[in-house]
Amino acid sequence: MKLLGSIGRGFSLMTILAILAMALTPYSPVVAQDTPVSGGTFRTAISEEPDQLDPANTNQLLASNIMNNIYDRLVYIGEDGLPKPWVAESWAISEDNLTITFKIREGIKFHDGTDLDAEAVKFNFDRILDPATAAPNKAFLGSLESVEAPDATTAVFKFASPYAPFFTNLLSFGIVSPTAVETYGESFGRNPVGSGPFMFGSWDTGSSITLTKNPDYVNYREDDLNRGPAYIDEIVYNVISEASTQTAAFEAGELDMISAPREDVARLAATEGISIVSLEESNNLNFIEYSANEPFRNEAFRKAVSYAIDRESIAEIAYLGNATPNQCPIPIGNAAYDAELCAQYGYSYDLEKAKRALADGGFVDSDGDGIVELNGQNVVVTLWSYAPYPVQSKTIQLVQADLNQIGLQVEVQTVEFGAMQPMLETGEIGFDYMRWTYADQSILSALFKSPGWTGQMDDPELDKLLEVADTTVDPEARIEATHQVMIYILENALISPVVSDWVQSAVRDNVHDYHWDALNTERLIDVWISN
Amino acid sequence: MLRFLLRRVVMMIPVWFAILTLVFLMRALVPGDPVEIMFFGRASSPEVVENMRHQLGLDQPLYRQYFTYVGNVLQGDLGTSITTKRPVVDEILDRYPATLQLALASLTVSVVVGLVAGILAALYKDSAIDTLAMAFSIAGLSMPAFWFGLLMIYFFSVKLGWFSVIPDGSLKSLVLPALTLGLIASSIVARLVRSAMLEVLGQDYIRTARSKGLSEPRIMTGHAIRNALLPIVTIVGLQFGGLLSGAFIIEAVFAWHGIGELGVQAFAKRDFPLTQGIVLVIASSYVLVNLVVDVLYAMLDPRVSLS
Repeated sequence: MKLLGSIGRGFSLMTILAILAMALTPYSPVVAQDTPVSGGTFRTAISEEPDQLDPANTNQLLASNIMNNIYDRLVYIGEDGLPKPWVAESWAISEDNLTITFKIREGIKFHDGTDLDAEAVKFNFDRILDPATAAPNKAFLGSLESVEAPDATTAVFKFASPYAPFFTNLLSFGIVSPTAVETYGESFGRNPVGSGPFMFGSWDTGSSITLTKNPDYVNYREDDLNRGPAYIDEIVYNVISEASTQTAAFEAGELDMISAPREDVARLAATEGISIVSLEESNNLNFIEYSANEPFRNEAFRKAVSYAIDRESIAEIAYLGNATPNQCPIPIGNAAYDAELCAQYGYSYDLEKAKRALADGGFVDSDGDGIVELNGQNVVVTLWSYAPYPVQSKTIQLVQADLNQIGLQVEVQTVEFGAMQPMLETGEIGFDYMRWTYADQSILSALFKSPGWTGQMDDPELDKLLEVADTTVDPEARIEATHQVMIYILENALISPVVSDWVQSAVRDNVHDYHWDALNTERLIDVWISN
Repeated sequence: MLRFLLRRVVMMIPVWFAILTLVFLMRALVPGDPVEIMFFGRASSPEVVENMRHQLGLDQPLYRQYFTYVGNVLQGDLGTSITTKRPVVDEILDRYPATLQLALASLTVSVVVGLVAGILAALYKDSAIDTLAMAFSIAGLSMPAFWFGLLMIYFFSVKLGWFSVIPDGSLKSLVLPALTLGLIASSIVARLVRSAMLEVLGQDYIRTARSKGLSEPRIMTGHAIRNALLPIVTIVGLQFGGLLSGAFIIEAVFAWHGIGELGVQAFAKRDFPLTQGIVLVIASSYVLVNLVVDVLYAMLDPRVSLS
């Protein structure tokens, strides 16, 4: 629960009266309801309908939030960043790091009554490896070549080369019932069958998805409070695309929890009967990235930008205080995050250093117009981000003002999400404000390994460091290797990290024990509703 | 009558083919590769991207894609949604009834309120009733639909608790979205009715009718309103066409799961088979409504020949 931060309710008159009443009464007959009670429906909203609820056929975050309730996985990741037993009760990694042998727990059943055994595990991963499936998340299996099931409790995973991100990446691969896949065929994604705490109930196209409690569930996860079946009988996901409408439905009492819109956090927190629950150590990273064109390829330019960004102000103004300034090129919730390391190698707000960096790179204001020149030409650059997100627009405007102070003339522009990628790949976008959500340390390979996700990277030295990090299977040694990558990225200012924004939900006060795990997934098995 | 209809239907065919071609070209002209969008901000492997492109036929030359597309559409096959992997026809059929229901309800509100307000304003020209009706009309015309919809929700659902925010499929949940759309649309209808009525009421034949000693209600129903209806049929037809294409914003505000909401999502995800299917259905609706308007026109105005 260390991951949980919380903004308490504001003090309304009622709260003050209640506190006074408690203080004046020598013995309070009201017993805090700490004991979970079973029953009730947990009603929440999703901004759009998921495409599929089949892990082999979707890479939508929204779908995975729902699937996490339906499917169990081989392992989960604890708060120390290390894999812990779940469907697999133990595992052994071979000397050469090329084979991982999982011992599958006995007696786990899918919702259709069939056995979740090693054969079922093999079926699942064969299906994702099969090119005919065109599984969008296949890249998350890295160098996995094959899975064998010599007996019902042994699953042997063979890799072509050591692949360290494997354990975290298992997050994307809930285990589905092979029998159900055969029964439903193409429509399995709308009739999902797993072994998790909730079973698929119904899908009312366009309007809602309902999950029902699995009464026979045994929870093997140590990071949850609840060992047995879930407390709530039902989860209803209502499709409401408009955020203001979600908030209205929540305030009207038609929903128990919504993802809190940043603009409404302060108001909702001050509303009687509502609390804001915040996950501050999130897997979100917001950063400025650069193309390989001039002047962005110039290290001095990138360093100057990194020094000139006032991260505190951005967190306060653009994110309304719901984000943490971050100097690391990795999300704050990541196992490899290290504030001290990044303070040492990173760039804290310092306009003097920023100006000096520009001067070192040959950017000088020789005509005294307040704008620096490179080779006699005024430097005029455009900072991009994607639309239509107010926080992106606000942030680039703040950065624009920051950069003006060091003599850079900056235009800002937003472009629709879909149009952005080709512009990044051609280098038409020189530098831009981007956001990634990623659970594993391999976010660094995904971003930077040549040619990089925008096609702008070509750095053999960095590739070598990334290779070491991605093939060091031992978790602690791996973090050390990732630190080497982070130092290299910071020393060369390959990106300018800005903030990690928080994951926030607004929850009614009769909803208890709502929380996320170390990989930022909701654990609704613990949630209970009091009257 | 039959020949008139037949001729109009035959004339629709080239229009419809032009639409079909534009709809097809839409994908080629809009920036952003649909497969790349799926992986925006996520890791992917080139092998998977290629596979997916092949599955969708995107690796074929454009002209071949076109003929395949037209052939499929003529057989009633609008393709398969990239994101949900369900037939586009199913996706649209799941949503269209909701849009149709909302369109009919809003149109009823728009016509009833618009006619009543417009006729009253014309009859009592320059009175308080006239001023009030026209003030409401101005307000309706200038209010953003999005804001008006949210206002309705906050007032009637959150504050008064009369309606639930999330539609439950009952007729009751139709009230707020239909009122929002209908009232906004009625402001145009009211203005048109008012000016058309004023024009008609000033005509010689009305004076003649009065001098013949006909009662006011007789004059209104028999002579004035019928003649004033002509321009109104056109605008109401256009409104209905617009409503059938899904009120993109109002559907989102009221969590009304119609074709407008589906369209917004399909476009954002570059789900091009779905987007194309929706645009095709919307455009076809417009063509059909136009046909109906033409027929109504001919029926209302004997001067427009049906042959």
